[in-house]
Amino acid sequence: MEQRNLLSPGTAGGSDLSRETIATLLARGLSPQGRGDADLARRLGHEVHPGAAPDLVPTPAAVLVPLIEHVDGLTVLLTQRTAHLAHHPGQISFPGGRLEPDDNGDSVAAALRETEEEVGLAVGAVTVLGRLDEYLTTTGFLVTPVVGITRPPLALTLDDFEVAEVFEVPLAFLIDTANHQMERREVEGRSRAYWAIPWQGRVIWGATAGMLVNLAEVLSHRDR
Amino acid sequence: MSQSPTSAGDDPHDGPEDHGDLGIRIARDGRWYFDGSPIDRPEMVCLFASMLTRRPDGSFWLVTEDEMGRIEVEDAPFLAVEMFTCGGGRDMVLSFRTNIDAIVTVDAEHRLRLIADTATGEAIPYVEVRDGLEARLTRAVYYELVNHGFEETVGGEELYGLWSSGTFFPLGRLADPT
Repeated sequence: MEQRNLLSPGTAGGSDLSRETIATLLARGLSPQGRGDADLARRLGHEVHPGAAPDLVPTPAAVLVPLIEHVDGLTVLLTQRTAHLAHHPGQISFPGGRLEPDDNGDSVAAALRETEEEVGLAVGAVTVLGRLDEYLTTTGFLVTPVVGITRPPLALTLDDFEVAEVFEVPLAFLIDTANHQMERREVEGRSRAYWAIPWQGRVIWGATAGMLVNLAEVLSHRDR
Repeated sequence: MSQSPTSAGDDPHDGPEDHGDLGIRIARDGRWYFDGSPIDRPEMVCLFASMLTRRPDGSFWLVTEDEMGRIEVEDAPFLAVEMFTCGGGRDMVLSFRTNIDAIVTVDAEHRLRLIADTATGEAIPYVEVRDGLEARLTRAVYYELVNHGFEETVGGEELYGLWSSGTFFPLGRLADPT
C-alpha cells in the first residue's frame, strides 16, 4: 500500500496536501484586501451594495472550514442548516456564527466555539492551520473563515435547532475549479452573480461557495 | 548659537523661507513621491513625515526651522497598518501602528472618525495621529476593528462601536443587530 502511494503521488489532486503545506499556503495566500460578494459584483462590473447605508457596520462572524484527515485524503465537513432559521435557512454552510463579546474580537475562538456548539466537535480536537481573507456578504456579515484540521473518528452531536445534518465532501472536488460555477439570479430586479458548487444532488452556493473558491485559489499556488 | 526667543521678532526674515510647492505627493496608498518618482528610502520618508504639519485651511506643509514648502496629500498622509488591543470591552485601549512605524493610541485627543465612501457606501475610518494629521485604516485593519466592537446604548440609540481609553467611538449601526 505504502509503495503504491509513493509511486502515484498527487492522484488525489489536493487531498494529499500535508498540514504544513496547507498552513504555509494559507499564510502566503492571505491578502489584506478581504473578499466578498461585492468584490465578485465589482469584478463583473455590477453595481455594488445597492441601498447600503453608509453608517451600517457589517456584523462580525467567524466560520470554521473543518478539514477531516482521512487515511485516503482530506474532506471538508459541511452543515445543512435547518429550514426555520432567520439567517440562511436550509442552506449549506460551514459551522460558525457571529462573534460574542466574550470572544474579545478573536475569530478563531468564535469559530471553534460555534463549531462545538453546532456539531459537537470539541475545541481541543481541532488544529488551526490558518485563515482565509474576510468575506463580506451582501446580507451584511463580515465573515472570517478559519481553517482547521481534525482526525477521525468524529464524535459529533448536532444542535438540531440550527443543524439539520452534516456531510463530508472531498477537498479535491471542492477545490477543483472545474466544479465552480458562476450563477446569476434576479434579486429585487437586479441580476446578482454568485458561486455555486453542485455535489451529489446538493448545491453549495453563496458565501460558502465563495470562500471555497478563495480556498481553491490559495491552495493552487503550491507549485510556486 | 541660538537666539533668545524675544530677539527673533526683530528679524524681518523671521520664520522659515517659503519654497511654495515642493513637488512632493503622498498617494492614497501612503507612498511618497518626489517629481513623480517614488521615495523608497524609509529613513527619508520618516524624516519628511516628522516635519509634516497641517494648516487650518487643510493644506499640508513640510516645515523646518529655516525652510518650508507645501506638499500634496491625496487622501490621508498616513496609513494605519496594524492594530493592537489591550484589555477588552469598556476597559479596552486601542492602538495602531502606522506605515511609518509610529504608534498612536486612540483616546479623546486621538479620535477615530468615519467617512462614507460615496462610491461603495462603505465606511472609511481615520484616526488622528497628531495635530490634524490622520491615518486611514487599511481595510484589513478596519475589519479587525469591527471584530472588536459591540453594541452600546448611546442617547437611547443602539450603536455599534468600541471603547478606547475611556471614550466610546461609534462605528455605526450594526447591519444585523441582535
